[in-house]
Amino acid sequence: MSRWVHFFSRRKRMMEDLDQDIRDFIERETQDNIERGMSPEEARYAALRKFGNVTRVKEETREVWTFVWLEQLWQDVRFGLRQLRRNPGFTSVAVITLALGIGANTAVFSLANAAFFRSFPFPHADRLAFLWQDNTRMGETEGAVSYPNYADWRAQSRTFEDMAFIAFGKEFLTGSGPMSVITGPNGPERVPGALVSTNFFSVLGVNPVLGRGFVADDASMGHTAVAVISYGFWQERFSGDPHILEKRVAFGADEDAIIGVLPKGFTFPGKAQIWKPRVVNEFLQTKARQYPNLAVIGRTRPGVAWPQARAEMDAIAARLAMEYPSVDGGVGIRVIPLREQLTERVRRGIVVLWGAIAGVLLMACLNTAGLMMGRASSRRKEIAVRLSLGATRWRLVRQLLAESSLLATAGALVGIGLAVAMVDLVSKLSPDVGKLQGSVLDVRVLAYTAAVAAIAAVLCGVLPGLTVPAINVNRALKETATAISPSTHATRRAFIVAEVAMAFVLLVGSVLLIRTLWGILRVDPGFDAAHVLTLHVYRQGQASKAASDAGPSLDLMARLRSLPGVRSVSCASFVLFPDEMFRVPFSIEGQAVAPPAQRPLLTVDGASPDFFRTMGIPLLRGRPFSTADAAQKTESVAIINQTMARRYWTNDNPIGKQIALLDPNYKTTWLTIVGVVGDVRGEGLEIPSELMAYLPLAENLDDELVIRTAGDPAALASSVRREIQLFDRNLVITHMAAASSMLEQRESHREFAAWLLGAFAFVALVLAAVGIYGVLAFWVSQRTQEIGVRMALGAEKSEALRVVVTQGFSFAVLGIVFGMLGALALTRQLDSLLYGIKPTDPLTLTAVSILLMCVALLASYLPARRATKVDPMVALRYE
Amino acid sequence: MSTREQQERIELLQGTLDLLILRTLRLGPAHGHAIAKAIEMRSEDVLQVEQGSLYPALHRLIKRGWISVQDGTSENNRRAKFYRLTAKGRRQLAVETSKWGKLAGAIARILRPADQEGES
Repeated sequence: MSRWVHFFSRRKRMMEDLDQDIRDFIERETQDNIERGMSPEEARYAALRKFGNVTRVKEETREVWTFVWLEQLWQDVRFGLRQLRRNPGFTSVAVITLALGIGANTAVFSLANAAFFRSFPFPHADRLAFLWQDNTRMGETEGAVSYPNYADWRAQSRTFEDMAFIAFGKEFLTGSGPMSVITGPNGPERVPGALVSTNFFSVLGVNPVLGRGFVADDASMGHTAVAVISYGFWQERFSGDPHILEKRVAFGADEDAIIGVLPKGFTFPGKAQIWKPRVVNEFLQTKARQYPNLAVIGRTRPGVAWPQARAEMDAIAARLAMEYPSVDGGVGIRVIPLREQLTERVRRGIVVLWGAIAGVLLMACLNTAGLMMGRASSRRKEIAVRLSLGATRWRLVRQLLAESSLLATAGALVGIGLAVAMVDLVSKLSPDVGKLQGSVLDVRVLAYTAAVAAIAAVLCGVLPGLTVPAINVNRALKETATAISPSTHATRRAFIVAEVAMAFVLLVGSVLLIRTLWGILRVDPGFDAAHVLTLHVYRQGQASKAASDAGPSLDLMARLRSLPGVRSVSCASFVLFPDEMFRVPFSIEGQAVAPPAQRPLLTVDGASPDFFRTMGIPLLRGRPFSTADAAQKTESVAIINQTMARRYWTNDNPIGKQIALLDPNYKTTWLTIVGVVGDVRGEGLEIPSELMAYLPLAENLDDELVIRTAGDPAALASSVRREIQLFDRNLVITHMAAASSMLEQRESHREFAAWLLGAFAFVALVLAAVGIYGVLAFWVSQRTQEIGVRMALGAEKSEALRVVVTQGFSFAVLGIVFGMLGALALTRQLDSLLYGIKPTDPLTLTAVSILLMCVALLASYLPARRATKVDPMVALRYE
Repeated sequence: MSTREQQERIELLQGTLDLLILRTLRLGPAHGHAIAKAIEMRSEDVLQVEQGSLYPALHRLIKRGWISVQDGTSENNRRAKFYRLTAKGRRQLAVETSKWGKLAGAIARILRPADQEGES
């Protein structure tokens, strides 16, 4: 900057010096002439004559100090500004169009920026990675890790400095996983939390700002229960109480001492507010190898590259597979750097959005280019005059570029405002996105916006600029504005076709993605979510064992059943969270037992006799559990889901067949199948349901209670709560929720994405319609004279209309054909993003085609009708 | 100015004026008029410096940093702009001079046979 200031001030000084110098020169020359004997007037005149044209000398000297291109650029910009000011309509439409395109791009980029590039609140986060069990037999590449495996990895690895774990597996990372239930002034509530290893904070490199982190002893049996809380939780719940370390926090049946507060902003994993050490008991250490339920985080030693760490973990996995073939056979280890892991979920969504948004931007640029092209052709005479006066063609293209740059700059400025508003709105609507916020406009985002604006400027300027070199000066000066050379006609036609084709591809893509998302939202969860209330009951202050005494549990359930509006009450081990259930290897009667590595896994849940009726899960075959089954007085029985029945008894009746759970934790190994029920879908409704079996469960309060209601389950919540409180004041209700609201919560981010995509698709639709209308209408209006001639020669109004509309329509059809080809070419890219719908979905293709044809018809009909209404004499003179 | 004189005067080649200005300033700082006069005199009036090209040339040299300009007082006690050769300009003069020598020599070599052919 200062260099420029310096340059200009120096130039000014030099030019002032020059004036003085020239005066001096002429005076001296005059003096010389006087000395030669001339009269003073004569001498001065001769000196001036000898010097020549003073102005020209000054001009030429001035040019030494000029960056010619810079001056010309400034001229171009000023000329462009004048041009734009003179056409406020054109200018505002172009600026708004570009602002929409650039603004949407900036908004999406700022979200991507926050998701991909934000820094983590851990030192040396680039050395942190998640480690998963790569379990081929379950088709699960990022599976949870069992405690003994974790312990072995940790002991054997040399490339990893240390490893920590978060209990309960991957679900925790999303922040939607199991929550701690704490008792506050307003009764119990769910607070997101995490059960972690005692070295969790040291592996992450986070130190509490108050108190201490965990020590190894905290995880041993019988040790005082302790918890560490987040800074935000301390501030909100305890108003930043300085004596926080003397407080306790109640977790359902237990009370924990608060021993530390973490630094501001640390809420990992997910939105965790409370961390507790996972108690490492004997079962976990010795018998739990087949129960993978940990997410493991490791920190590599400085200087270790990922391939090196992966190679070592592969070797360790191979060693463990040899040692424990029945459990670890075929299990690999997958190392995924932290950043990659945490952005994985957002990434695909943002990539889809980015694709859609790039389409919107392209559309906006095409529209503006179309507008400028229209203007360029009505300025053909002006351009031809300038060409004939000696302007170079490049100079004229540069003039157009200067104009488009001005438009793009204005568009970018308005667009940034739009982006801020959009991100603001989006983070209000979606908590997930809100979490990412905090860096809407940083240098990177602004640089991106500038780059997008530059691309837009070039696209908008160069496309109409391409027609300039084609101008024949002679012809252009002679021709009227309406009689356009054939080559310009071809360019314009190609442009209309391209515009329609682009719009087609963009709209088809958006519609397919939206239909995918809505399709997922509409997937049948497999049960009657509308009439189910679920809740969990704890008995406060006593060991949880007491709550599960069958007597009082049965009494309470009977009382709940008698409440008006309650249809039935039952219980299950895990309702709606199949991803948290146990998975065990199994075998089938009469079939050879597969080698351990290939044994399929079965998800096992417990269900009380009334469970299926209460949940509204259809019984497809056989019978439900009886009370005798539940009391486990009869032979061991099981009910399987439809997926299981289809997989193993395709043409057979599974009732009466036997399966064996190959796991020491189940007393009876052989189970007789007594019924088949419909599939229930859990996390990710589009994910195919798993093989599943239900085992009979006696009714008790240790499990989830499921209540079927006659009407809205939420309306019944307060009377259920009152009834339970009346029954026993020590009973605490946790996470009571209508099943439908739980599902909605799970799928809310998708619904949000669908809305967002829908909004962008709408913007794209508007831009496409406006763009097609613009180019077609301009094309028709240019033919006013031709229409006038036709009508002067006696053509019927309808005939003249028909000719124009048919041509306009044929452009649209051609564009749709090209668009169709383009959409088919992109099929493979789209296919992986779609669910339940083919990229070649005929309904979508047809609907978009019809829509664009309607726009094309209107766009050629309306201006054509206007043209036919014009008096032929006026039309003939029309320019 | 007689017709004969005008015919004998030669327009300067592009770039040679720069070289002559640098050469002139080697003798000491001078103002614009003096530079023009010096070139004309030393070429015995064969080379005519056009004022139209003198000032752009001077400014070009200033911009390149080969000469500098400063206020000074001339012999008859008048204020004037004095142009002075810089160290960079001195080096450039050596380069340009040797370049010019090579060019002149080369042109002379090409032209000589023609003279000889004509004479023989």
